[in-house]
Amino acid sequence: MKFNKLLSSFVSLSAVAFMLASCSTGQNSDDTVYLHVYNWQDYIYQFDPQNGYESPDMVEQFETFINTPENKQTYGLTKNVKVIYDTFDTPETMYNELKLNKTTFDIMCPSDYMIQKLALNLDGLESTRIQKVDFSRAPNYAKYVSPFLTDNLKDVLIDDNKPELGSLNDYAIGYMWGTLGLLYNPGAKTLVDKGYTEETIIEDFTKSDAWNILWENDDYASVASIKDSIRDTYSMGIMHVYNDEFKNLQEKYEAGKITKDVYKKDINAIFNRNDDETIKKVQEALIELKNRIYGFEVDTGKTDIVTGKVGVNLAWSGDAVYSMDQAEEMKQFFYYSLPSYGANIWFDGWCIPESCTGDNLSAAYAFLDFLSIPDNAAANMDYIGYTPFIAGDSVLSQVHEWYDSKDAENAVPYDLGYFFDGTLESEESDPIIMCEPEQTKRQLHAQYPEKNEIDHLCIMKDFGKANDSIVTMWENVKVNPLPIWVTVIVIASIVFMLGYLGSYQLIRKARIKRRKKLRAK
Amino acid sequence: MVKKILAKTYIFLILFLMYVPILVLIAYSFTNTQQIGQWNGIFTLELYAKLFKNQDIMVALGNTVILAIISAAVSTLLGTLGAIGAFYANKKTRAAIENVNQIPVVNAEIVIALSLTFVFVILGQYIFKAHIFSFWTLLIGHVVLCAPFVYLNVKPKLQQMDPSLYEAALDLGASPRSALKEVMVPQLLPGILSGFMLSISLSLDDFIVTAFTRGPGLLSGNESIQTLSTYIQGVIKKKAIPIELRALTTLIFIGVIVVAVLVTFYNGKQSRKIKKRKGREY
Repeated sequence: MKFNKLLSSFVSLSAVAFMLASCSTGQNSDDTVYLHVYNWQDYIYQFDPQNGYESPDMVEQFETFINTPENKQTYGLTKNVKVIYDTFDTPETMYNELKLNKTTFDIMCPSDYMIQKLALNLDGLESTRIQKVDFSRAPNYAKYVSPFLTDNLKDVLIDDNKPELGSLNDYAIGYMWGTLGLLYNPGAKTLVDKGYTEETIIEDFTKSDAWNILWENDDYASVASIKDSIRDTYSMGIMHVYNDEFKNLQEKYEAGKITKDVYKKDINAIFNRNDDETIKKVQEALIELKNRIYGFEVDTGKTDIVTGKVGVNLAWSGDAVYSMDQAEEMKQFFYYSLPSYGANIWFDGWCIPESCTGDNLSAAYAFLDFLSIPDNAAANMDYIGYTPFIAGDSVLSQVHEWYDSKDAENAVPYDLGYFFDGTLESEESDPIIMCEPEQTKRQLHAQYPEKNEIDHLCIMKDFGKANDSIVTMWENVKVNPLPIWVTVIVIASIVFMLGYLGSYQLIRKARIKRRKKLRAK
Repeated sequence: MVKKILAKTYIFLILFLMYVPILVLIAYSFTNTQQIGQWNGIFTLELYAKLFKNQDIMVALGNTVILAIISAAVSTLLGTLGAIGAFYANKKTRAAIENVNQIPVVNAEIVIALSLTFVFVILGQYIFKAHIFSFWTLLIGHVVLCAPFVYLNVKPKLQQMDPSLYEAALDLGASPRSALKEVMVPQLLPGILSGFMLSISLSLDDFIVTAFTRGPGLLSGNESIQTLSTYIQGVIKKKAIPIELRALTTLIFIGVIVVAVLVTFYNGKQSRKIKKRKGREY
């Protein structure tokens, strides 16, 4: 009896705790707004004194910043703001959590194609709908964002057939951006043993059609690892399959036969092709690639190349910077190649779900605006290694500090005017970096592509309706198709075993029945 | 003789191959190189100091351990009681329970995780009218994962036991509760303990169910609960695995060894005791 009482009280108690726990989050109390932020893991400045990051977390700095009377007034807040900071591992995880309506977030930071998918919201769900951004509520962003990037975002229409839906720029406050290129180690032991010199390797990888190199040269392919990611490999496949078309367009553009707008539109159209024929061609190319390369990797490429397991890696610019920094500590020097016939440029940006309103919306804009202050953007860049959307003096001086050459005589100019022009306030800021010649192929090149390369960068949109066929394509690439005779033998043996077991059971049952009958007699 | 030597080399070779990766990791936990494979010759305990100062890892570790202990305790309780109940139930009920118990064991983890998530989402939408993902949903997820294994561990002990012991205790005047406590549990203890240990290890390294059913709570406060597995999965997307984890792995490995040795020692003592008792009897 006593036990039962205990049990029932425990059950009711846990039910109460269950309710309490579910109510305590997401709901604002009288004097505090809870701002629920959803970001990639390790994608914001954090307090880490052991590695020299002495100031408090960016989130904490924001809470100190916003909870002063003046700043509250500026952003239209009356209550205090407290940030709940959650992290996801991939945009797909984020999308599924939204779709299931597990929790509600006030701002989240997926990649470009995912923002497009959310803005399009083909599923028509309430929980995955995002709202348009009001830039007047984030004045720092409007002031310091690089015009080069907003132009790029404006080029991506949410739906090509419905221009009234607007572009990516209407739905996102940019955070970080980068490119997808080939990271390579000119001192890789396997290559050196085969008679390659550092100069020939660098020369091969800086060719305009370097994307083809892994299909053409088995020595490079055998030391290359490729990201196990459907979008990144697809973009590489496209670059290989339509290499000639990219080449022709570029020649026309450089000869002045077509304007920049037409050129950009055309290369983006090729880059985003996903008709059945293209998918088939890409599949063939990727299967060929798979049989040549060292292997696919899941997020280990950036360390594998440092330990010497591979010599070439398909890398995001930020990962490339990480690997180059790591390698430098061991006196190894890696290079980053962005083949000039074209490459992928990508963005991670903040978007705001429809469900975020009132005080939460004000707090959300305050947070995004705080991140857009150039000092903070520079701190994030320093900590994460990726390149922020924000230009401005402090970011530029950070770049100067990292890359200005000590050896003035051999320094070469690296023009970042395309990125910083229009955001600089100080007279002394000079967007031309005088860097060491190697830097034009290394970290600086990964963080900011060269001026003459930026026209050739393409954005990969959401696959849209072709998504299913591309996923099937990727599955076909990943599995090793069995020869027909193996399939036949496997199926035959399974059928035989099932038939044997089944008939054995039947025989046994019949026997038992007969025995029972005999016994009854 | 030759056969014996060959057999021994074979065993040692396999053990060696199994433990080499862990030993390499342990060796590298005493140096501060960023990459495994690049021995820089510096012997230092820096990683251990860093480990305890890394708040993210400490929070994740704390969450993992608390969750493992609580979920193992709950699963052990449920699994043991379930096994006893099923053992004394009639044949049909027992067969039904046994079959239902097999489902989570045989099923892919992702199916369990997804179905639990759906249940919680529906509960939250129609009954609680709020988002109910929290420590409790995570706990339920882990108990669903672990309890069937406890059941499977206790069952053989029940079959070894004389089924009339419990009835004899009742006949001799014990109340059902004390009969359970004084007679049944000591008989089943080895099975219960191994079920508990298994639950802990299942819960410690679980990723899929955790990722699907977690919500805010425990040491993470208002933020989603991070366990070691979800933390590592998130961190490798934009950065590499933190080097401090080498130190943590070493510590966990040592902890496991200590527990394993203690258990073996205890079992040895127990079996010696039983032998003695048997010696007296016969």
